[in-house]
Amino acid sequence: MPAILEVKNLVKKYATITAVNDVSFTVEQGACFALLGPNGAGKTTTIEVIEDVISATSGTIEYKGKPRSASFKDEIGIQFQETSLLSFLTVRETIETFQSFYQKTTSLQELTDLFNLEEFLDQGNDKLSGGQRQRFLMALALANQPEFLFLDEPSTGLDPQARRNLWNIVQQIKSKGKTIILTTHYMEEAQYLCDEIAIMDNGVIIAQGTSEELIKEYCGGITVVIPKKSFSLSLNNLSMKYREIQGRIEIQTNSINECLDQLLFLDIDLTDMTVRSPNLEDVFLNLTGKQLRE
Amino acid sequence: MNFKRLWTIFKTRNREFFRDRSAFGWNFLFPFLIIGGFAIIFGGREYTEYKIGVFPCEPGTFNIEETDIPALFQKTRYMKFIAFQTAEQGLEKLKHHKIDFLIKNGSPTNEYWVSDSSPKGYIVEKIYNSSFMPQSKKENTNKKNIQGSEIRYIDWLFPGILAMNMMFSALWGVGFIIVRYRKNGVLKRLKVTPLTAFEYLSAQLLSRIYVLMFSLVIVWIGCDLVFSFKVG
Repeated sequence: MPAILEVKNLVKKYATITAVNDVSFTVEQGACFALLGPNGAGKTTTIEVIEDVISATSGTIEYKGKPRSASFKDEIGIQFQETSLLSFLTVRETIETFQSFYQKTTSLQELTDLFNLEEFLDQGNDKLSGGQRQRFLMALALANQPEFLFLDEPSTGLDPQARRNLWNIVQQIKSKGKTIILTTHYMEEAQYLCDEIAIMDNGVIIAQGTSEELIKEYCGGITVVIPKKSFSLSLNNLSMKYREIQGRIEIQTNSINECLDQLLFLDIDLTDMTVRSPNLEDVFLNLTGKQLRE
Repeated sequence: MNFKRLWTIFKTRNREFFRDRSAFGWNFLFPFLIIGGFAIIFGGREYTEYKIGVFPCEPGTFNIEETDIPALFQKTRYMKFIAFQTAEQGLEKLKHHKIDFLIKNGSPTNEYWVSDSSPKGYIVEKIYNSSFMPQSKKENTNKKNIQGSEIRYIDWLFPGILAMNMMFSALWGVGFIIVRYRKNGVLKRLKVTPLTAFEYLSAQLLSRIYVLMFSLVIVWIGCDLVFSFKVG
């Protein structure tokens, strides 16, 4: 697939802070690209520079092989992390207002069907629940039949069911061949939805690839999880590499047999033990030594 | 410049105005209340009236025509005659400018008192003295009348209130709204659409002009029905 977006050596500095530091990546047409990282990693700043909301300190951004032109705004759809809308309008009126800004539009009926807006179409746009609001904002982002979609933490603040519904919608959008850049600090979201993931921390991309590539490169093996209370005095005797997270001990190992042998030898209670495959959280932990949501 | 986008923002802003009850109150109710309030406070007719004390007279049965005060002076307009039983009562009032002039009824020498620090007293004294002068000794004058009517305080006030309403409404409806939209991220959301800043600002200005004209007509007609304004 050809690259639709190419970001080269992007830097964004504020007075004393470098929010984005020499970030480079390409996004292929039709792909879902994730910028994954904790709060303050520079994800939102990066995509706001790409969206042309704020200007870059240095670096280049090419869309379809050229610098962004006036038509760029016609071809992109955006859902901001936090946004307010024009007051005293219904959902229908807000969508119609945004549609009028563009040459090419998605019909109201299509948006209503895709995002299940029927139930609150004539409700005030400031009187929606969290899930309804996210669906509505996503519909607004698609009001102009965009080729390229920016979703900035679309599932933040949603309950698990609403988040799952949102994922399904993103999958549907993806299946229509749209290119998506998504920022999130939910590793499972990035893992589930995205073809390529760039992990950001302190304004820098610290790893990039598919979720499988990242896990393979930075984790490997499996993770054995045991509550810390199962260890009595024997934690210091553990010769395997482990980490302590929120009252549990996580041991990453390539050999489950060797790991279990040692745990049994140390007389550790394995009643509450679980075994799981490594995920992007482990990748992030291994790369930075801290959790994604710290 | 895309007129479709401009028209959309124009309509949107108008909808916002007509659905916002507080904006409605400020633009329609507030001028009515202000004008109504000032009309009540300053609406009374207040002509310059000279107060002349007369003694010795019985306040209960006082009739100016039964005194020996010159008829010409009695018939002078905007004079109000107040009876006092004694000179002391009248002088006390005169001293504090509660009355402008004090006359002793039945005095063969036409005694009167006036405060030298009272401008109104000075005028009344001139009128009083001239009322004793024979008509033949008066200088020839040539009086001409013009047609006209009084401009009430509220007639002066009304254009000012309308101008104030327009000024505040424009400041609030354009300036404040843009600041609010900038702070809560609406402008940021609009910035990533093809809508230009010029189109947005033009639509805001046109919408406000339209709303101002509309509210002005309503307030004008409403106030005219209640207060019967004179225009021109």
